Amino acid sequence: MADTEKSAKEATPSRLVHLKIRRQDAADKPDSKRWEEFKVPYLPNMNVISALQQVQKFPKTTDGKEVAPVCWEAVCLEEVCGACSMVINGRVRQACSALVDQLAPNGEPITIEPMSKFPVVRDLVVDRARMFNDLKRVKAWIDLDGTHELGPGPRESQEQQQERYPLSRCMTCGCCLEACPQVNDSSNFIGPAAINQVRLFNMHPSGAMHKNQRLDALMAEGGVADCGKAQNCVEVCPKEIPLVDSISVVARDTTKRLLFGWLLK
Amino acid sequence: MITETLHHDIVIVGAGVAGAWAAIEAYDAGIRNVAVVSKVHPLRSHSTAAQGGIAAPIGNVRVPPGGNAQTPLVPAATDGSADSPEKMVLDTIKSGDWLSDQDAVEILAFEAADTLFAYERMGTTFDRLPDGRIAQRRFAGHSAPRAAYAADRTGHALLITLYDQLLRRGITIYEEHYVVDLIWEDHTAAGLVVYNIADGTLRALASPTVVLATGGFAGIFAINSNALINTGDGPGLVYRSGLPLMDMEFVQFHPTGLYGHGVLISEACRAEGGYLRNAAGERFMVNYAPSAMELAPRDIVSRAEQAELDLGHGHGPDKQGLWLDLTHLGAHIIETRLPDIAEISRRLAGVDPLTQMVPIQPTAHYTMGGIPTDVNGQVLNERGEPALGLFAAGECACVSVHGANRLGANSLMEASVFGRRAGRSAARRASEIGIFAPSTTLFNQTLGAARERIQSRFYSDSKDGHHSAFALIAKLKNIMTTTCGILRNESSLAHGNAEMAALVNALPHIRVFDTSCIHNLELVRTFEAENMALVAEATLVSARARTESRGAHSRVDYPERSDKEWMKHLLVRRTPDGPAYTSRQVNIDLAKYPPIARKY
Ligand SMILES: Cc1cc2nc3c(=O)[nH]c(=O)nc-3n(C[C@H](O)[C@H](O)[C@H](O)COP(=O)(O)OP(=O)(O)OC[C@H]3O[C@@H](n4cnc5c(N)ncnc54)[C@H](O)[C@@H]3O)c2cc1C
Ligand code: SF4
Ligand code: SF4
Ligand code: FES
Repeated sequence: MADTEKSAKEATPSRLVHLKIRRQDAADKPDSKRWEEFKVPYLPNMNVISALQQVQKFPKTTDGKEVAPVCWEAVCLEEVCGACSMVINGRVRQACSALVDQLAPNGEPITIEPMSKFPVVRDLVVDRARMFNDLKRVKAWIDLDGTHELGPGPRESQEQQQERYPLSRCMTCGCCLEACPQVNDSSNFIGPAAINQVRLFNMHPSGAMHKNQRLDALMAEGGVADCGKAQNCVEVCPKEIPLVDSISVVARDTTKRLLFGWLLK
Repeated sequence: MITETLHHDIVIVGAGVAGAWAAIEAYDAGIRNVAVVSKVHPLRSHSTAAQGGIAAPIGNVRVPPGGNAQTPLVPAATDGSADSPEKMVLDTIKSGDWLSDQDAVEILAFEAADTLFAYERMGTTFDRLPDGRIAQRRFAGHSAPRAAYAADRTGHALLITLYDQLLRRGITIYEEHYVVDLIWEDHTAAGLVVYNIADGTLRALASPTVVLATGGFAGIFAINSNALINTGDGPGLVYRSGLPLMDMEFVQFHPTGLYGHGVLISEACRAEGGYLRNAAGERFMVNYAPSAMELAPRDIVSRAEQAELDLGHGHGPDKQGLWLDLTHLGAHIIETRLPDIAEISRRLAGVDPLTQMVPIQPTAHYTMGGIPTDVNGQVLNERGEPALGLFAAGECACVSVHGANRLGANSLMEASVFGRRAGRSAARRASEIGIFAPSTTLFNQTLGAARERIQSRFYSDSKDGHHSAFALIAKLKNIMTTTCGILRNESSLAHGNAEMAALVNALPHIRVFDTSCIHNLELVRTFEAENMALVAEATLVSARARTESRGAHSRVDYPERSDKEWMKHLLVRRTPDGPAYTSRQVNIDLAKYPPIARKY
């Protein structure tokens, strides 16, 4: 993506972007938690990642201290890879689409914190391993051995594709888990993203063959029943996935399985 | 720093479409100890950003009789007769401006359908026709509507499908591990050195087969549409080993990148009737392609834009901006047919395309060249002999399907088809070799050397004479954009070559200020800077050597294609006396595919 250094120098130094960043040196150093403030030159169309790139190049705090560069994750810079989730001005979102003009039209300080529901690795980087493990737990895949000379797959109606496609847009960014009140230290609620995957794969003609295994994974402790229907997840999902619908569908299916599962044994 | 050696039968570097496929195929061929290394989590790989589609000549739709380029498509007969692999071969060779190797193109076209159906069976959410078959759309340069798609997020849909299959197979994934070095024993690949970004540990992975699938390197340009991680690490590793890189001068520039950012605004904006304007508001295409106007092919529009910018007709502080004007299209067309473009404009530029023009500029987009391989992914040296144990596939490789100019939607299929083939070849070699016992001293030495090199990167003395990777990378991109951009000539390239040589010499003086072993991105940028500089060097050398214009390589001082002299691939490698190049004839049957001029 664009390298902003050159234009940074050309920009009028009068306008600065003020960042308040939550830092932590390592997972096992909770004592290093602190706020640090930085001011970087404003650029047209700047987003939080381009502001953080400036901090990375010249890591000097507003009180003149040279510090280690701030760590963060970002890859695609176009809101599709899911890497750059952060809590910005108190709201979890993708940093690459968080525009400075909209966050701080009059140069207000922008606060940036790591997501709180995942272990901090360093500064704004968190460890989202639980999300990938949950994909395994709910078998978020189609069972297929060998991929050669199989010919066209099963046909799928446009209606079904239009229902499945939005569910498949999940980029495991973790925003929904961050916003969900039921995901916390004292619960092991799996969270909306994995439940949505269960709905996605259970709808597929081949995926449906393992429907019950997926439901079983969500009937144990920390499963779909733990959702409190607060709907916070839907509000923050950058891909606008209908998570609450997915939760209702899966909850209905688990209930059915609970009631009639013995019939199928 | 802790060091250790781990053993695998196959190690694949990269977890984009090409790397993930290689892993699946290798595993399915019976090799269980397969490992994938990726410097970011696999799902963040750049493949996820691909938008428009993946090409396969299955002929599910067709243009109705008497229809033109705008007529809505209709479902075609189920016998697939509406399209054919032969047509796809011809389109690809034409777009590649007669630099594509025919054997590779034929494999691409003939294996595309099988690969597409594999995705379908694994659950990819492709758009559908009313009868439930996979829908297809038009793509510029394809003579039939050939691109299967999942809305405008085709790459994401494909990558997540493959990642799920990696999970299902329980394939070992070294996430956030950066490959620092290739290890060679008797001119045969023996493994890799990897740096764990999360905690700073350094490890050697011993393996008789290594597959490189590290993606493209358009990230060496100041404005590009690629992810931050597309830095040419695979080609850099190969080039450092003394092996050649091929066709490096061919870089595709896309005419509509978001100004100052580079993110892609898809071709659809022009197809739906968007205008391009210069700072004065003029539709400048009238001076370059008066009949096709904005609908001329990508490379022609990009060149016209560059010419306008060179005339000083751009806007913005650097005068490098142009305008994409959609305001005359009306809310209905913009919201229904261009929703993603509207979203990108609003979310990434804060501009409402209904009422405002979108600031754009041409953006480096795709790298046709890379690591030379045969059609089985086997990496080749400058004499065309195999570099045993080493395979490559996807955008980092050059088989060469795309020749001088990639056809849209072909690259996802190329990464898939040749990723599969590389995985199978690696599996064959791994089973032939059986038990692999490389020299332990070799591994200890390589690891030791890597560790020392890393340690020497940190400041031990004053800052004088040293610089940061960030500064060096910014300079590198600037050199590439100003001297080796869309329009090139001898004096710009001579200048670029000299500047890059100086920059390569400055590489040892990069120092890292951040001393943490945890997620030290400054150190990772330092590794990347080396690869970027070497890949940039190879690109500049090739661009200067090729004294003709072909496909994406446009020499103002040599405006014509010269088939007599230049229907050949250029291979650059490092020698003690600096970069040297050799050439290899294009593999093509000219009686079957007689060269014609690309005119629009
Ligand atoms: C915006 C955009 C839109 C596109 N749209 C289309 C389209 O519609 N149709 C189409 O056909 N093509 C499209 N392309 C091109 C296509 O997306 C790419 O060519 C293709 O995805 C490349 O896949 P890959 O597997 O080769 O590499 P990538 O997906 O780039 O993966 C590279 C992998 O290598 C890893 N890696 C790299 N270096 C290292 C290292 N040193 N150590 C460890 N791991 C490393 C990375 O972590 C990553 O996993 C588009 C490209 C762009 C930029
Ligand atoms: S609806 Fe359920 S999953 Fe979503 S935020 Fe509320 S409790 Fe969490
Ligand atoms: S469901 Fe939405 S918020 Fe949750 S991980 Fe997926 S994309 Fe992110
Ligand atoms: S960087 Fe990929 S979503 Fe922000």
